[in-house]
Amino acid sequence: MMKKIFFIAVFTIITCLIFSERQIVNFWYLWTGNDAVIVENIIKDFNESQTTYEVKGLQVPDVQKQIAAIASNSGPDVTDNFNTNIGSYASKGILMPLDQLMKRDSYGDDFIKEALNTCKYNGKTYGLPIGITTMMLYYNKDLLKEAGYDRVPLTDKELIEYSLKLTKKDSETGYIKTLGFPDFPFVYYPVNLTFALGGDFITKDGKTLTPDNPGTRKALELIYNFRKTVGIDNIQRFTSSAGGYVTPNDPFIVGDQALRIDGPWLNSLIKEYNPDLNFGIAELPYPEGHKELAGGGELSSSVMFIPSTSKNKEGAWAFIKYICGKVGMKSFAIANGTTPARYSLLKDPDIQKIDGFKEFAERIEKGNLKSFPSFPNQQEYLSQMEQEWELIINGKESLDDGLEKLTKKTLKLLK
Amino acid sequence: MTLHLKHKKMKYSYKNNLKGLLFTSPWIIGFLVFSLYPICISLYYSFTNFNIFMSPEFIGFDNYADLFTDDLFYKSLTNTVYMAIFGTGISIIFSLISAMLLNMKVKGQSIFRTIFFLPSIVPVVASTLMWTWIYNPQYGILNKIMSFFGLPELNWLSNPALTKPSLVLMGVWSTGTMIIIFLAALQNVPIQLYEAAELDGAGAFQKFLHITLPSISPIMLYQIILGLIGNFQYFTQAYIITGANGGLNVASGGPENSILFYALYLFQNAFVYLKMGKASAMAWILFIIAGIITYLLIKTSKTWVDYGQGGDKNE
Repeated sequence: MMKKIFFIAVFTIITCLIFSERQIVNFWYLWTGNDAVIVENIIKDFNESQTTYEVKGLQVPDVQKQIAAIASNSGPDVTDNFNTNIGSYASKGILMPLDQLMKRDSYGDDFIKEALNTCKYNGKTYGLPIGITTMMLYYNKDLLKEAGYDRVPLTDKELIEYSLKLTKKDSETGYIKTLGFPDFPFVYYPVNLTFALGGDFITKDGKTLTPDNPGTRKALELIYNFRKTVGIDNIQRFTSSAGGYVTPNDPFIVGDQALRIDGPWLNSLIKEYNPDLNFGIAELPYPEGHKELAGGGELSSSVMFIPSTSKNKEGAWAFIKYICGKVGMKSFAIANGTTPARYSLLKDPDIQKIDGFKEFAERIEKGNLKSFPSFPNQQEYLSQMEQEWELIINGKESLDDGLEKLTKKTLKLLK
Repeated sequence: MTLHLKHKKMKYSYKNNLKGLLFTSPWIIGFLVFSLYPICISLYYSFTNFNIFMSPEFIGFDNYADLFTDDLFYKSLTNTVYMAIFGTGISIIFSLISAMLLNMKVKGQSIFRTIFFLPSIVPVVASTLMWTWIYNPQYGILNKIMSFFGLPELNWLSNPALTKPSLVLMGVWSTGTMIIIFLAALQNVPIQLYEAAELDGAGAFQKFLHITLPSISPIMLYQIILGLIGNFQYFTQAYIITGANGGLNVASGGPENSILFYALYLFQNAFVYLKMGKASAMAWILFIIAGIITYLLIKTSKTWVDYGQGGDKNE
């Protein structure tokens, strides 16, 4: 009799242990450094807030590795990426559509419309935005004052005029000492200025790609004129030997760059590396004579998604709901200065206290922000354009030739 | 031979063959599974649209047609041919000269040999990262040396015209293994040939041209073939240099695609654009090109490679 009771007790205990063990949810993320620490804290908070799932975070800052793992069925259950990959991944069956889950749990009302749109492809939602990235014009107030300016350039005409005056060269070598144009880092310039100057990369009906549009033309003309006047060689020398982007030696942070296009993270980094820098944040310039287009630029988002090969989709969904929920997204935004993707958080007093937040939030509400088109070959579209832009701004190809080439090349990308 | 004996002999050799097969079976299985199968399946994929996540969709020769009308395909091919010719050529010339210098009986010969060999054992990734600093226009040591001699300071890695020469220079720095092989070849040239030539009044250059070069010609052929094949697959250094500015492995081709090599473009197609079919087609085209070049090289080598006359007869 005792033996029987003993065995039943042991069996029960073991069963309880097995079932009370949390389900593991694997979360691979691209964030590194300080951002990774923030994410791990959110993971900890989530794990402590419930008992069904245990999220295990792993830093994997390698997109190819993530894709390869997902392809071979050994990938994570949930991961982060950028909206610029949604179309490409969704069309290949890499992502799980979330519409049904959102409907089932009545989740998703509070998200900023433009941000949620960046996560959609073919009408279905494939991810949730955890943060919005928009770029602003950072300016060095001291350098502007020295050149005789009491405000930022507002139009494209003023941009080139101010930039040429703000650029200073070393009298002996002729090398650039102070960069007046937002030429560094170049990668942020063309797409943002295309949108800010009223252009777009696709027609409104979404049927034709438009690499040759008025915004891109103006943007490329501006930077080419600047480079030609200052010397393309000099620019190359400056940018390739400038201190690393967003390191303590970053040219804007050390005061060697007067105008700069960058995201909200630059704000917190300046405060950390060079708090004495006298700088401001302003909107990107609008085309001369079109004040109604002011406040334009690119809106991109960091997106959380569930790979289609995830082994624990419910667990992944539970975690995404948390990190993109009011609590999770708020701690993420406060900790690293990203703009949250929820209307309610935009009005949150703690969020509004974040440095530079006000300027970024105002622009989102103005509504002139656009996103890069989302379709299966979006990656190739951007790469092809970037390669041609480089030739144009280095004077190896004329603007007309380059854009004509692009129009022909990209014809077959949108099928 | 009686039928009985013949039968016994056949049975014996059959058993022998079976034993041999059994012993080599691990390698055979490994080769079939890990080499032959992937090679054959990649040929199949080259005729499909395949992005790993969905089943391959047969499209015939579309991938090949796409490549032959792709600007970047030709750009990557020209970049690679440049590297193959100049990279291999300059490396061979440099390592041969170094080997000849290291063959001279001077004090500290072994120290010099060690110093020349050391760079080749530095891991490629680490040395490439180090070289990006050496080539830094403002703080790099190379430009400091240039300005010391009154030469202009150049944008080594951002000027599209200089990126490939910079890579060739990097390659020359790490030719240690080539030097060792040439050294061994040089030491196998019989001294009697040199002595005989001196008696006939040959100068240093004539000795080099008519004795050294022909004697080491088999090794030279070997180095050329290996060097060419290696440079046709040139990838790591370009990948590191173009990705050294962070960017989450987008595998760009450098300033104006000047260092977009064939293998790098293949990588882009495979892992950035997820076009496995196109990448497989690229791989097979490279295979055919490399095969043709190797065949031509060996065919023409009969005119200039001299086997059987170098080497000590007493070996």
